[in-house]
Amino acid sequence: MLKASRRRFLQSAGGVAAAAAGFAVYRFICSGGAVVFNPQLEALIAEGNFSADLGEKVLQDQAPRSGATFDALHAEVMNGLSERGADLRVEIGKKVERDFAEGRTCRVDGWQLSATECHLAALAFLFQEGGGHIEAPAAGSDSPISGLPEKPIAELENWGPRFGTVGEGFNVQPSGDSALWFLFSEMDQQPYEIYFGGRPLRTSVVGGRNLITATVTKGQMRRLASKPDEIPVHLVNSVQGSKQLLGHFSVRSKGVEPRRGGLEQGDPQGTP
Amino acid sequence: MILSNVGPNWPRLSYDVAIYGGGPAGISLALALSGAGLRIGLFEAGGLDPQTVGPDHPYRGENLGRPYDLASTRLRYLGGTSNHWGGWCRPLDALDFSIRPHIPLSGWPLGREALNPYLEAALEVCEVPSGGLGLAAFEHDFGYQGFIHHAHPALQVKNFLFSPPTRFGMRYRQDLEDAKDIECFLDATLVRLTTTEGAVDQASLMSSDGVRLQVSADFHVLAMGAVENARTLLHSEIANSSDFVGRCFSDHLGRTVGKALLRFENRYFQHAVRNGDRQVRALPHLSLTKQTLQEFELPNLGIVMPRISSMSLNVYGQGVKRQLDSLLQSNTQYCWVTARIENTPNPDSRITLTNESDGYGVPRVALNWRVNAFDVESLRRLCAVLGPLVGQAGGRMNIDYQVAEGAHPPGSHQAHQMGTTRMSAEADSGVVNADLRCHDLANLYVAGSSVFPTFGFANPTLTIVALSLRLAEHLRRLAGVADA
Ligand SMILES: Cc1cc2nc3c(=O)[nH]c(=O)nc-3n(C[C@H](O)[C@H](O)[C@H](O)COP(=O)(O)OP(=O)(O)OC[C@H]3O[C@@H](n4cnc5c(N)ncnc54)[C@H](O)[C@@H]3O)c2cc1C
Repeated sequence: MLKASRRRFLQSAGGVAAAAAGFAVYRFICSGGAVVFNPQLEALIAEGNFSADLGEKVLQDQAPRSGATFDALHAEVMNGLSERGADLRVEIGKKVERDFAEGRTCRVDGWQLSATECHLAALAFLFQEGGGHIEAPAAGSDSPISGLPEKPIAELENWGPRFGTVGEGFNVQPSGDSALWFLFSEMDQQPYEIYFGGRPLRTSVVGGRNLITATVTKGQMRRLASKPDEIPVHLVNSVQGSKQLLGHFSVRSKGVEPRRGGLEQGDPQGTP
Repeated sequence: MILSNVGPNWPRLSYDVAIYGGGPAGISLALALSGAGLRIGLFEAGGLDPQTVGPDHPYRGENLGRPYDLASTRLRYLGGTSNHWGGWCRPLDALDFSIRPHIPLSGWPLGREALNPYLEAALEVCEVPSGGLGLAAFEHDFGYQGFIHHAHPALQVKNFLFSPPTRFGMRYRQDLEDAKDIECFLDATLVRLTTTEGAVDQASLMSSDGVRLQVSADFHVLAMGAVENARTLLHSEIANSSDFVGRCFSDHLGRTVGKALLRFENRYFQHAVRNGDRQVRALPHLSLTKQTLQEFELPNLGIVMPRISSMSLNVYGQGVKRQLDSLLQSNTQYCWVTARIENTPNPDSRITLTNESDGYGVPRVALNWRVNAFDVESLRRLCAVLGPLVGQAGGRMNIDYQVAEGAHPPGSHQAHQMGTTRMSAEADSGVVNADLRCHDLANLYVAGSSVFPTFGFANPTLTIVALSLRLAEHLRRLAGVADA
């Protein structure tokens, strides 16, 4: 990232992201360019080596307790690592091993991770939330489901919302994330996931066995719905390794009215 | 010779050795005794074919504790439960025979080395290919160089090998037919034993159509499985001065404790391996060294890791994989983590008799299966130990939250009934001695996993057969025909 854009990120991270993300205890300190951000680390984050989704969860679970700051996270990651010269990726790998050996671990959604890994993920999230220039992995060829066979998995009765507007959330939840819902006529208890633009969404089965909701985080919205597009939405059966196209989510430019359909089109903005 | 039913012509029979139960324990004992000039009677309650497990089936009983399917986990015909066993074989480890301070009632009155020659022979009886390595195959590194257990000194591998599986009734039926010194009766249910002067003087048996038979013998051996062995002793009101008959009932615990991402070659599942030009089926289990198990006060255990598609990872799991792949510059594989964990003896986990009798007039059993708090707790501790170890070695574990919190009881049973007539050095802490003779009686022996005082995590049948082979040698020695 160029110096100027980094500064822009740090400045925006200081205010907007903190408020939007709703992490009340979370402070982003930007000391007017005084923050020294390791360029190798920056490159690793910018290349998408660490997971913003994981980082978001780390912060949700742990930031309120630890009161971590951007500076603090960066300092934690770099603590004990050489600032220059060494291959930072290798050094981080060794630090992660030491974390495990010395009991510096954290648990995220059941995963037992090293503290350094969690910090890296959190930094990745903040980077992304702050508008960092991270290349989103494109849907398509590198999507984890691109090679899966298309097979009918469950009979879809209805789903929604089916359109959104560039730069805006849809069916916005108190967390600020957007939510999709899907009503199936019948489903068994296989682990299902909703994929949006070839990327997995946080998926839950609610209110009985045949209603599924899936969350599109603000970061994912920004990555996947940054321009007018028709985004494929899939149901994936991870055990059988198959996918079913459920429809396309329309991302419209501001001011473009969606075409209203009949009942079978679902209520494009509501919940079931 | 096999005699398909107990005719009224044989109201009284007399043998040198009378064995009750024609499963792996009874059949391997009878055949190992054969050829030494002894007269052997083998009495099997069932026939040559499976019985329907109707409401009157003698194996039906009550559950007072954890649910346990008493009827479908045992088979009542020649060959016994080996008619549907899976053939998984592994001897207990030396550790399982030792006294461990953190496991009350642990330790056998004999060591693993005393069993080794019989285990070698049991491999043959159970037709387990070992690639020419014999017992050493269970610890052999079958080309596991890239496996995670090489990446950390606290980890090690423990192999299972496989019987075809040998269906003892079918496989050894001809041998029983051919043996001149064995009379094998079908449809001959042992009902009760009576004693005089500290020895069994008579066994009462009955056929399904009510024909009764009395058997006397120099040595009587119960080989009817852990539930029926205890049931018969309780019903006969013998061999129980220690009050341990029926107690310490146990079955192996196994459950999926989580998932893992591994950069390592992962073949911790059943697959073909080679020793030279010999092919063997093996199932390597990831385990912890003896020192690590003792340091963390863990019971013995082994872990299998069947691969699954990374597609099964949710959004966070995919994030963990992305980070790990990037840090290790490799493509990690996703798998389940299923632990097979030794369970510890619990005297309150027990078989007692109910007031209801089966068609032979034998009271049905009530099973109160209990699991020690230590066993549940050890799952939690295992998760806590394993996560960082795997992490240090370059993998990641996702631990089942409820298991990790100890809130979840261990998983369901594996149909390995054990412990109800435990072996002990002292008469007050068990039912049989190291020679498998009842402490209280001069001529009554018990074969099968009911004698296991501690259970390890390995399936029991190989050890059951080894104990029977050892018992055969002991009885031959007592009968003065050891050299025959
Ligand atoms: C589904 C399943 C899978 C298994 N898989 C494995 C495995 O992979 N590896 C492993 O090591 N173990 C396995 N086991 C356990 C294995 O089957 C037993 O350990 C083994 O059969 C025990 O041998 P046994 O001779 O002691 O008892 P049994 O096999 O139960 O034989 C007892 C015999 O006694 C007879 N009998 C009962 N009551 C009387 C009576 N009153 N009078 C006369 N005869 C009587 C019965 O009819 C039977 O033939 C499995 C068990 C089940 C149910």
